[in-house]
Formats: sequence, C-alpha cells, structure tokens
Amino acid sequence: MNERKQLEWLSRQRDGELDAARAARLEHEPSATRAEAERVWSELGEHLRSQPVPAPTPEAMWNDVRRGIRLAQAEREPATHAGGRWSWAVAMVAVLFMLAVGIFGVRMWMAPTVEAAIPRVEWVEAELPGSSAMVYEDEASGAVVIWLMTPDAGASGEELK
Amino acid sequence: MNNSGTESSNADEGIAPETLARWVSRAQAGDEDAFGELVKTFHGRVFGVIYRMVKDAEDARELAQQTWVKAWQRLGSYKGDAQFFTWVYRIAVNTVLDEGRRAARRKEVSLDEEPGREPQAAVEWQGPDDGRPDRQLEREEIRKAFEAALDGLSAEHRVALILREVEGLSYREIAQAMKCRTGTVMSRIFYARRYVQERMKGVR
Repeated sequence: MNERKQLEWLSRQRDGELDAARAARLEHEPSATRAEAERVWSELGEHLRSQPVPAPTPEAMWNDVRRGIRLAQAEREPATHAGGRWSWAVAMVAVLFMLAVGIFGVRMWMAPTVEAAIPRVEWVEAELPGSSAMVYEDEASGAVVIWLMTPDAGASGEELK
Repeated sequence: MNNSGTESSNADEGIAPETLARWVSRAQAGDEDAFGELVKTFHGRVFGVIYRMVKDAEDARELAQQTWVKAWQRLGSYKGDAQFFTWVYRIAVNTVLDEGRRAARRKEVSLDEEPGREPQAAVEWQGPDDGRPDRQLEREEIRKAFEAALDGLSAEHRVALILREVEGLSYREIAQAMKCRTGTVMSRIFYARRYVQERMKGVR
C-alpha cells in the first residue's frame, strides 16, 4: 500500500469511517509518516476545538432572529400592497377596455350598413304610352341602369307590340 | 476526541426526539414560540460553525440571524428526511458560502481596497500553560501557523473539517449538510488535513 493510501485510510480511521478489515490491514502496514500525520492532525483537531466561541445568549440570539423575521415580513408586505394596487389598476383597465369594446360593438351593430345606405331602384314608372322599363345593375361599373323601351323604337319596339 | 464516526452525532443537546419533533411540527404550523425553542436549542452550535468560518463575532451573529430567518421561511420544505440540526447546518453552510462568494465579488470590484488588512484573529490561545514565557511563545507560534494553514483552505474544505472535528458529524451527516456525496466529504477532510500538515512542516 502506498503512503497516500495509508494516510487516506488513517484519516477515515480517525473519523470512525474505516471498516474493521481495512483498519486491521492499516495497523500492519509499516509507515514512516503515519506517526507525524497522527500527531499534526490530532493537534489540528485540538486547535479547532479549543477556540472559544463568543456566542450570544440563547435569548439574545432568539431576539435577533425574531427581529429578522419581523423585518423580512415587513419587507414583503409593501411589495404585496404594491402588487395589490397594481392588480386593482390592471382590473380597472380591463373593465374599461371591455366596456369600450361593448359600446363600440353595439354602435356598429346599430349603424346602417354601406349596402343599406345605397338607394335601391326596384321599380320605375314611365308616363310614355306603351313603354316598358327594365332596371338592372351594371356589373362592370356598378351603376344602376334604367332601360326604357318605347313602341316606336324600331324593330325591337315592333316586337314589343 | 469525538470520533463518533458512523453513529449519529449528539447534536440534539439532550432534547428528547419526540419533543424536538413536536417543536418542529408546531413551528411548521406557524408557532413562533416553538421555533424559538429550536433556535435556543441549536443556536450555539450553528453560531460556532459560522464563527469558525468567518472569524468575526459580529459577522457571525448576522449570518446566524440570516440562517435562522431562512430556516423559518423554509420550514415547510423540511420533510424530516435528515435530522433537524443537519438541515439547519445546511442552511448555515450555504449562507456562509454565499456570503463568501459575495465578499469575493465585492473585493474584485473594489478599487480602493484597504491594503494589507489581515483577517481578524479568532481568539487568544488559551491552552494549558506552565507559565514559562518560552512555552507561551511557542504555543502562540503554533496557533498562528495553524490559523495561517486553515486560511489557505477553501471554504468547502474548512467547513467539512470543522463539521467533523468540532461538531463531530459523521461523513453522511456532513454530506447532507453540504449537499454532496460522502466520498467528496472524505476526500475534502483528507485533503484539508494533508494541506495543514504540509504547511505545519518546520514550525517546531
């Protein structure tokens, strides 16, 4: 076993994380650096544990925490209120928009259409004796044509006789 | 030494598990007083871990406060799959590491950084002393050497070492607290020890 592996196992053994079989194997491995590692690691642990920690009292800590909780809540509330105001504003705009769309729709529905606005000619009465009238819409120009035929109009007029 | 190893560490401060579970349950239901009991029970250990990381009492107190406020806000996410103190340690570790990253960024962008500012010494050495000035000097030298070596470690390596050596957490518990694999914990602790050992060569 190389030295690095030995020290790795030694580290795990110190932490109680090395299985018994490996621990037994480690014990029988000759090592030049193991003793030094054990000494320094042991001192390192002692050093870390010996540092006094200036912890506040439980009550003082709890007061800190309670104050922190209140502060966090207070920071959240204005945001909620602001959010509430915004949602009211959005709702108002939506209502106004719906109202505007409704009014516009009703007005459009009630307004006469373009087609309806164009005067329609369905019947023409001519005072010429024996004449007949024909009304139609010219497809090319879109104009309404009133065609009047009289008895003295030649061949066609004779036909009409 | 607290080589509890694979056994669960005794971090419940002598509180009966059912009492602890009741406090957690009540706190999750919004009972602030029950949460207060949890804070008072574990604050010393949480503060200790943070203090050993940041080495400043005021900073540690502020970070401990942040840790517990976060714990209160996230109590709903605690499902009891890890022990409560491990869950709080995780929040504490993340809070300290996040603060460390923010501080590093601040340091990067700071143009008028205070030059030559040494990190505040944690505490005065108060080990056993036979009253001899030469022994005191030697101890002081060793203490400083350890501190310098520990300062050379990354935050992740230091946290793993502290949780093991001071808090006596098992690799599994440290892995839960640091949200990593037990293999990673093992290698971090081993690396930290080896690093310190290397740095301590020639001190005596």
